[in-house]
Amino acid sequence: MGITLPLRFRRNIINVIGLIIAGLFLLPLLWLIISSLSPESAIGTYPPQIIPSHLTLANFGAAFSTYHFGGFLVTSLIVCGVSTALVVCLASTAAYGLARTHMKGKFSLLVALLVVSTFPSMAIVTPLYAIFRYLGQLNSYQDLIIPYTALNLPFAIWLLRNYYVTLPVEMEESGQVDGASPLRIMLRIIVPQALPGTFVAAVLTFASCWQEFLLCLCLNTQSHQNVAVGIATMSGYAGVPYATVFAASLVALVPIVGMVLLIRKWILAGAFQGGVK
Amino acid sequence: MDPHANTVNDSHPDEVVAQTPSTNPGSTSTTAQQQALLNSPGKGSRLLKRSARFGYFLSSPAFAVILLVTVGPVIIAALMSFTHVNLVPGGMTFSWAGLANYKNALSSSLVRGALAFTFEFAIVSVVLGLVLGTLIAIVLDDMSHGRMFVLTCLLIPYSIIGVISGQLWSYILNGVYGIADYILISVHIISTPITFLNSPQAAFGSIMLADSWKSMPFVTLIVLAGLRMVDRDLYAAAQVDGAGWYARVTKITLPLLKPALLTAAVFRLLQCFGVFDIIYILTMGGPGTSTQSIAMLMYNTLFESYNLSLGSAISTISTLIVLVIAIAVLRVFRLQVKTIGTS
Repeated sequence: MGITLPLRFRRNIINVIGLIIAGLFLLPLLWLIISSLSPESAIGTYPPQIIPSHLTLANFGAAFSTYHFGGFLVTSLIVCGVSTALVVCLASTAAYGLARTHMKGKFSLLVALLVVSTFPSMAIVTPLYAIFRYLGQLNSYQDLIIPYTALNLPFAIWLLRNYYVTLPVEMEESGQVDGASPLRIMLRIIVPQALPGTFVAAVLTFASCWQEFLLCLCLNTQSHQNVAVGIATMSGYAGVPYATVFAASLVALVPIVGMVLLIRKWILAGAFQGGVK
Repeated sequence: MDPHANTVNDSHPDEVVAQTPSTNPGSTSTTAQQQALLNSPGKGSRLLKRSARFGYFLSSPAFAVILLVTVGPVIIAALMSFTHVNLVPGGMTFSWAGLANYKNALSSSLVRGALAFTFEFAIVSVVLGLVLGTLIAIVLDDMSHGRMFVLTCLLIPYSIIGVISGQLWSYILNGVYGIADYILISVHIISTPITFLNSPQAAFGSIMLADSWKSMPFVTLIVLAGLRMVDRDLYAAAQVDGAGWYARVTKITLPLLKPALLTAAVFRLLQCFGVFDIIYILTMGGPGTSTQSIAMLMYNTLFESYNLSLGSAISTISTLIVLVIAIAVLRVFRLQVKTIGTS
């Protein structure tokens, strides 16, 4: 019993250090939230008003009325929604092919996907600009949807392929015995079973599209720019209107952080296995 | 057993390396399916062929999109990099340039500066991220309560939009009214405010800080997943043998953590190589061009000088560098598979 007490003491110290780390990572975000609720006049004062004199929602109004943040949101929703739908459809079928059929070269294809997935969007922005300019498609939704779909496919295929491989094969086999066509087996047996994995792939794809900045900045002008570009280019008479920027940021962050937290059990699964032996 | 099935499972490509779906049921079930098919010889091979055809049918749309939209442009950039591109209304004209664009790119101090900055940034950021990220993971691994809570808190900066991280840190680090200076002055670490974004060194540090806030949780997640897989009996045995904390870390934890650390390092390296959003917001590549990354230079080449030829050459150079890193990724994974196979 002599050992138990110091050990418990040590555990408590570790727990407190862990909480301090969490706090340090959240502090900047807290400052973002406070600033978004402070009156614009509190921005740029020194010393900074850590506790604002009064709270206001005016910045949210300004983001939508003065800076037309609604337009950026609509673009982001359309582009990310369509891209995610395309990625999920294309990746599901490809992943099924790679996980469950007997096509040749599956391993090489998976390795090729890995290599392609490392290309940064910076490597294709110049040719994409040239191509879309040649096609007269600059400043549109499709000039973002097409590259977003292609850039997110490799990861989604990998994720879904690994998910399909873990699904039990018995139901498919009984479907085969009953003489169901492969397509029917896929749509009726695999797709419903794979819904949780598909949801994770959809959320991660959507989050990745929602964060994209470089391509949108380079290919589109104001009428078709996404929230990231909207937040980056907001400027007023006296420099950056930070309170408004942070109010818009908060609006842009709620859906994506919410969705990521929704699938956090899955993202964190690796951090919880084992360790209890 | 299909050896590929295993290899592929263990080398999951992106952040979700953190999650490890059980791989065995999959490979065994595939084997069971193959077995079932092969048990009926004549019918089996026909079914296999049909299955293969179905596989090509299902996979080809996705692979066609990837080929057309990512591999295609990379090839077009390579071709364009050997030409002079003139933008004319409604289109562009090309004329053969040979290696002129590459000569321009490699002799330009801007390009060399951007390459040097990007590599310096990547190395410092990866090393710093790995060291601190691993320390945080070790703390989390030892926590008896609240690990889920802390991890959830770490996921929030991780999922934040890069541009927002940039705006937030440029506000925090503002040299006139930033809260960072205020805090540092109130606790008497400094006596006069630092203008974080006005000197090359401080700007470098500021970009590093903003980038680490967002990316370090990724390292922690991967390393923590690796730590959780370490067999606790090994520590108990080491304790019986009288090994201290340092010996346990260097002789057990770090060697077993090597695959996770390598995975995190390579993916962070690739991310750092494309660093753009944070720099665009925080410094625009300045002061001067001291924090101009390759992506930032590419942006300026395209949209300040509309030089598509030089842009293509820089594109192609960076693609080649990324390819080299990607080949390193594959080697790392092969190493990882070997490690798992032998343990």
